[in-house]
Amino acid sequence: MKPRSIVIICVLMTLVSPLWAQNNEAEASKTVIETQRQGSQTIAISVGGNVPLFILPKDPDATEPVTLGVGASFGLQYQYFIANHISLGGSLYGSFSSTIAGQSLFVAPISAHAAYWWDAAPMEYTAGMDLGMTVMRLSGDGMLTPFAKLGGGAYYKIDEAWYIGGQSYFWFIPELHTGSNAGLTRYGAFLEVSVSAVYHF
Amino acid sequence: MTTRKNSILAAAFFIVFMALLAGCNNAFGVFHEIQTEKPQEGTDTFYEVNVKAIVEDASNYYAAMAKVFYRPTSGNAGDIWKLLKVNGTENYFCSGIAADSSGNIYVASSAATDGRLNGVYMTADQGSTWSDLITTADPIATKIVDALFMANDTLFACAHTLDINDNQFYGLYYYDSGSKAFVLAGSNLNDMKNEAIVNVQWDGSRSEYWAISHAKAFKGTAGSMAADTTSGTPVSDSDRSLQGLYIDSNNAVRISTYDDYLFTLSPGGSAWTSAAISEDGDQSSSIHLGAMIEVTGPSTETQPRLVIANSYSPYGYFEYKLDGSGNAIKGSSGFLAGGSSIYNSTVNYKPVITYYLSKDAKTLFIGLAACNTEAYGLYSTSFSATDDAWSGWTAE
Repeated sequence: MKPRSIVIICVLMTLVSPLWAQNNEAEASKTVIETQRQGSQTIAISVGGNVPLFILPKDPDATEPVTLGVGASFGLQYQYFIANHISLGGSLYGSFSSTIAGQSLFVAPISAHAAYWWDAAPMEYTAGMDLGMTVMRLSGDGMLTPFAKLGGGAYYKIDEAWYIGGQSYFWFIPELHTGSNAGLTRYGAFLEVSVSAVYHF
Repeated sequence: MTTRKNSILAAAFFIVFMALLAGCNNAFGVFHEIQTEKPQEGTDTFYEVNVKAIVEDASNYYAAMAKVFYRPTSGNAGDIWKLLKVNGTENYFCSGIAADSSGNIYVASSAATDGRLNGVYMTADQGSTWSDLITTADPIATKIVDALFMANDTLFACAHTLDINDNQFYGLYYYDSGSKAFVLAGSNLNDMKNEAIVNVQWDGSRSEYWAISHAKAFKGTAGSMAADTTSGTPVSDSDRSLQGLYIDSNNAVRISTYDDYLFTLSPGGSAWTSAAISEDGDQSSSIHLGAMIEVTGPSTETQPRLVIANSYSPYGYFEYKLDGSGNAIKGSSGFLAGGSSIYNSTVNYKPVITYYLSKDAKTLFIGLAACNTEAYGLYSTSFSATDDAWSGWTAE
């Protein structure tokens, strides 16, 4: 089995596990834990990998099936709970990937984030999505494009304020070109898999 | 106070946003570039190096860096290049390399420690045997050789001495087969303070040699070369220096300058003309021209093109029609590169030092300054008559 397939399966399991936990949560406690109450805030930092999934449509001049390698990602995220379990905030991420010809792709999305949180002690879970813009630069030239991501995370409680765990997000980047360059329009997707530390305050 | 703070934040956000927007290029497809990339897996020999000259004999190509490496002309890009022993040793520094039309290879070999000249060696058998052109009485025997040039089968050498203040005093010499010694190319081409010779070329229409330093152009027969005084001849000033010299297939003399002009002296012409080299035809302070060579394109291209290096970031080169029609074409859109993606992942962002077009005119090498670029210093592109196209740059 290819490494990329193993990563994808692990990520899907990570994403699905919170749903089981959600059922247990309903039975366990009806109270909202302090960290997910309205007015709470979180800051999260994450470091991990970014797996390129696809770039579509395929280019007729392409000669290599895979031209982009697994990259590294890092990010910072702030969230404010506008209601119990529901947060709004913003994310600032960065990702570096190398191409087969040795160039570097840098993706730096800045986005608004909305999430739903729940818990099953000592774990807490989140599922959310982002909408925003991203800078993409390939060895000096680049584009500013729309950006969206969808995913979630599972975190283990270290103490009253700190949780640590993993998260996975599907990044979708429509690279839109206009006018005579409309033929350069492509849609790219990545899978971010990160370890993350969440601070509640 | 809060309002003021918000205003500052909004202004900062706006500035960052505008800066990001300014960095965008609608004509550059990031994902398209990535999709169409090809792996560049050259030999480690040329990884992060500077290749300063390439020559050819009946069997091999030779690429000069600190030492000389060679591979068979019948091979392919990516093949192993072997270290050339010069006069029986691998312990040397290559100060210059040249080849004549008979297939003789000339290497200026210097001491790797202090640059002192070991000799200017010639081989007619791919390095099996060597003979030294230098005698003890030779005027360059005690100098530091900077480069060798071959023009009209005459070997030239640029050499210099240093004074106690590290000023360099350059001279241009040619090898006189009659006296079997290097002789000054012109009485004034001696003790030129900090004025190295960049290139030497043969002008068949005038039966004269041309040479340039960064300061001015020289011309004349071997032994009688002198500063060019033709009307409009380019000379250095606070913005300008001479960077490239080429005699094209029409016997027009071409000189490229640091301030983005291509000077042309037509055969029989009495004055130089100049043209700015850029995609919009305007002179640009962010384009500094460099080395040149002429290549022929696909059958659909009626004009050969001058390939003119840009020695300012993002470096690379322009293609410019020989008859001067139209504006310069960025290398990524030219017929040599094999596509924008290949150009951007090979030649771009690396200063061009030299070119070499094979004797059959089917393979073009480009020698780059690739130090610290995590890429290679030597690429080649080959012309396929079947495809009627250049293959695109491939790492050697």
